[in-house]
Amino acid sequence: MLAKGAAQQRSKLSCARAKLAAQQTALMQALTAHSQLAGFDSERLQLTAISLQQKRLRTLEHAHPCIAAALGSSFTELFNEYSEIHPIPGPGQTADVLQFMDYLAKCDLLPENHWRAYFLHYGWKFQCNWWHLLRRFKLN
Amino acid sequence: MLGIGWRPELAWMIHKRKDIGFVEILAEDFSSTLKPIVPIKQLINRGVEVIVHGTTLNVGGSETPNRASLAHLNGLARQHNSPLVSEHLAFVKAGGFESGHLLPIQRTQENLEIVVENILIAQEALSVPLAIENIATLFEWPNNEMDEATFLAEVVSRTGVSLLLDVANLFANATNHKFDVDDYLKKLPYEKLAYVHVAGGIFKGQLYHDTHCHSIKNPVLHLLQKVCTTAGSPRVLLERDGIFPANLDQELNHELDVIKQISEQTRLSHAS
Repeated sequence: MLAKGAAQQRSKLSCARAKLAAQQTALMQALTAHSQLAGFDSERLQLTAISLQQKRLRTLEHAHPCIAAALGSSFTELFNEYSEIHPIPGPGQTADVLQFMDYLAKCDLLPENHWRAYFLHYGWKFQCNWWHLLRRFKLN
Repeated sequence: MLGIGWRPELAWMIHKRKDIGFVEILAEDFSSTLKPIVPIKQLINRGVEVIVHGTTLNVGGSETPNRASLAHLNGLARQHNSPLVSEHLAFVKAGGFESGHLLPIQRTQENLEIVVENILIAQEALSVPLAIENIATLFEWPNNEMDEATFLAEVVSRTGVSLLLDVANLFANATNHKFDVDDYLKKLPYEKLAYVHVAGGIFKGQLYHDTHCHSIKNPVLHLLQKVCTTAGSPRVLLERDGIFPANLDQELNHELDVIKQISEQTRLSHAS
């Protein structure tokens, strides 16, 4: 009897998780596409979408200040173009940084010695995401 | 006890300030396989506690917490001899996408069960206690079945998780979603309060944006005072994540002095 109750509870939670996944995915898609979603305050949703995009820009600037400095005022413009093509950030901050750098490389706008600067700033100073760095060096 | 969020840009300022009792490190910025970096190691050597603060555990998500993320948090906590790990009552991933920012969850009974299960799984995997933080949001889900404070209190009561109260987030939500702060504060389980966050932000029109890049506004300090009075002078940590001008040391030192003063005043009034 107890086992049956536990199984029912598990199944109920499993259904709730599937429902939540669908709701959260819809919200995430609306935010990245700057679109409306039924039941939500559209103005607030739009403000959040803008705020998410600005945070993404700041993260990229912070992760690679050398590129931001080299590109100057066109950095924001290039980011806006990039985020239109890639509205959804890659998994993890580093993936977005690398994807953005790929975009700059394709546009032939990546400053020289960027990897040295990236390594010194992001790798040495922050000790973070070594795996991504190493993988990137290996791939190149 | 006075704390500050450790950021590379603030390392020297934190190093010089000897009354810092604890710092937070952002879990996503550090490797859990390497030793603590020199500036953090120096702080640990002089007795400063290091709390590991995560942003991507996704306890409000539909999936159970990622084992690798939990192992990462555990590794960092072990390396830095952390007394606890803190995370957010939010979701950051869904359908294979990452938002890059903390998003609110719909406060329903059904979702409460999911959050409770996620937190229980996380607690089981972590070797140190977990604290959960309230987040700031610009929008609300439709059809919430309970208010934020009730949801938070339920999560704490059902899981035994500690509470990290961000007064700036609370101020932001009270302003943007128009609810009564006193009513919110009455519902919180202060016996589970691990520490308090305070940060700066800006008003844009009628809305308050919790930016962590601007100075602390007076209403947030008033709220901090209220929380300190109610909770009996808890640990308070200042967060600053961006816009680092040349005179930042001066600005942050002033803010830390004000926080310390509030904390001291409430401690003395409790003692008397």
